[in-house]
Amino acid sequence: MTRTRFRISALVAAALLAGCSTPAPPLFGKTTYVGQASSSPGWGFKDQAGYNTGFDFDLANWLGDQLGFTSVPVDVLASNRESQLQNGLVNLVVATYSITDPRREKVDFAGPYMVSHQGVMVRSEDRDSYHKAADLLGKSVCVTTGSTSEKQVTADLGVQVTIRQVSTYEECRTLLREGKVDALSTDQLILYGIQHLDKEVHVPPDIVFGQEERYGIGLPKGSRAKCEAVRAKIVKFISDGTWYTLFKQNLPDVPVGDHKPDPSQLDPCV
Amino acid sequence: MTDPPPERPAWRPALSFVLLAASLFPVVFLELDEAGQIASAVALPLSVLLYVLPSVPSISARGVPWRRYSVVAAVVVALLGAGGLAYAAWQQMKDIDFTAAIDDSGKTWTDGSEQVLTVPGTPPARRRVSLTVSLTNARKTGDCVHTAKVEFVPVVDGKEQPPVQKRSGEAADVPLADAVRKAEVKLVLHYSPANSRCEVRLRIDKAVLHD
Repeated sequence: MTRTRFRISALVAAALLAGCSTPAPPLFGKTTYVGQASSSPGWGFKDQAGYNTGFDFDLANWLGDQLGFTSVPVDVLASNRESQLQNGLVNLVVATYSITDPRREKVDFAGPYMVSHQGVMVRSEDRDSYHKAADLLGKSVCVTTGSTSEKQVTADLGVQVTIRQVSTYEECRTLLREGKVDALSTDQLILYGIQHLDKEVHVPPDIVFGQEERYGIGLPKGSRAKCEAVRAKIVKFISDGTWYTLFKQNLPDVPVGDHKPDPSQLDPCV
Repeated sequence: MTDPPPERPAWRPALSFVLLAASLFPVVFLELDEAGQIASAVALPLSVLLYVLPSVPSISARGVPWRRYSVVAAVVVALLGAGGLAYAAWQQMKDIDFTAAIDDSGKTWTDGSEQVLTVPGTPPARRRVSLTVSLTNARKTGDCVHTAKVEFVPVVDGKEQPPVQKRSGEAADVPLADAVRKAEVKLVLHYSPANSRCEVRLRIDKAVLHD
């Protein structure tokens, strides 16, 4: 009789404890809206049939598999990534999103998952004329107005060039094709992506300059727990070979070089 | 017939001696370097002497209530002395804020930049210094503030000691060990190899000497 009472009490206590410990809610909703570029070949690109490809697109899907959400791509532009996150229109941004101190004031970052530098793109027919930064002396270089590229071409290229400023890279590419500028400049990895689709242009691999562009995954400000979760997955992504596989799939002609971050040196989440 | 004077207890001279010895403790053991501190320390043995003085037969026999006067005077002087010593002790233990400026003439810091900061005092008045530095990006590009590590290397009497590493905005508690002559702190900025092109400005927000 005493033993039976004890068993009943134990069962009741266990049931009460089980009732108290409700499982923690998932960090990400089942459907998670991920801000992605749609016109950056090799990174985030939507073809005419509406099919998405690119390293960032694949990374977002891989993260979804790992963290238990379905990634729904939402087109973002370089100019509206912060506002899209702040307004809750996207839950994450995976779009060649360079981590910078001014941006850190508005959004959180997990990463970096990629390291790039400034580079230049020239016409294929001129490829033998450009091997080092000094070869750009006196040439005209197209950049987009207000971009970090404009500042870095001026401050870090090391040779005097004529800067031509336009609003979009498409305009730059048109000017380059028409022979109205000699080169265009932005992140070298973005240029490599364009080169992969457009055989009329060439990215000189050794012309790199400026500060490191470190791509991170953008999150709304104050998302520390999510940042920690994504950061842990990025460590895995880099370490287990997935990074290399996706890099070679999306940018097959690009040397890995120092683009792969050291997984032990990722930024801490704050 | 007058009553014989009350006999003095035999232990009173011994008690007076113990009190006098105890009152000399601050003079002997505290590092007193200001006139006010020394006066406070001297006030304690003085108060014991004031208390003991009426016991001397040549003074006590003049019909003046020396005993009462001496007790009041001893208490007043002892209170003043104790107050002064407590203040002196607090002065010796309290944290000391100081202004630490980096002489970089407005230059920006890059990976590997270093500067030496001299800690005031020869030797410094405390055994540790707490330093908080903040970084600001000198450019509009780069991920430079959050990723930087500042190394604080104590240099005690010319010898470098094991460093302490902190990020912008974090307080570094740097031991100054047993500096005999002077102490300095060498600040070195570090970035990871994949983020080595940053340029920042460094400012010391807070510098506190403490034990």
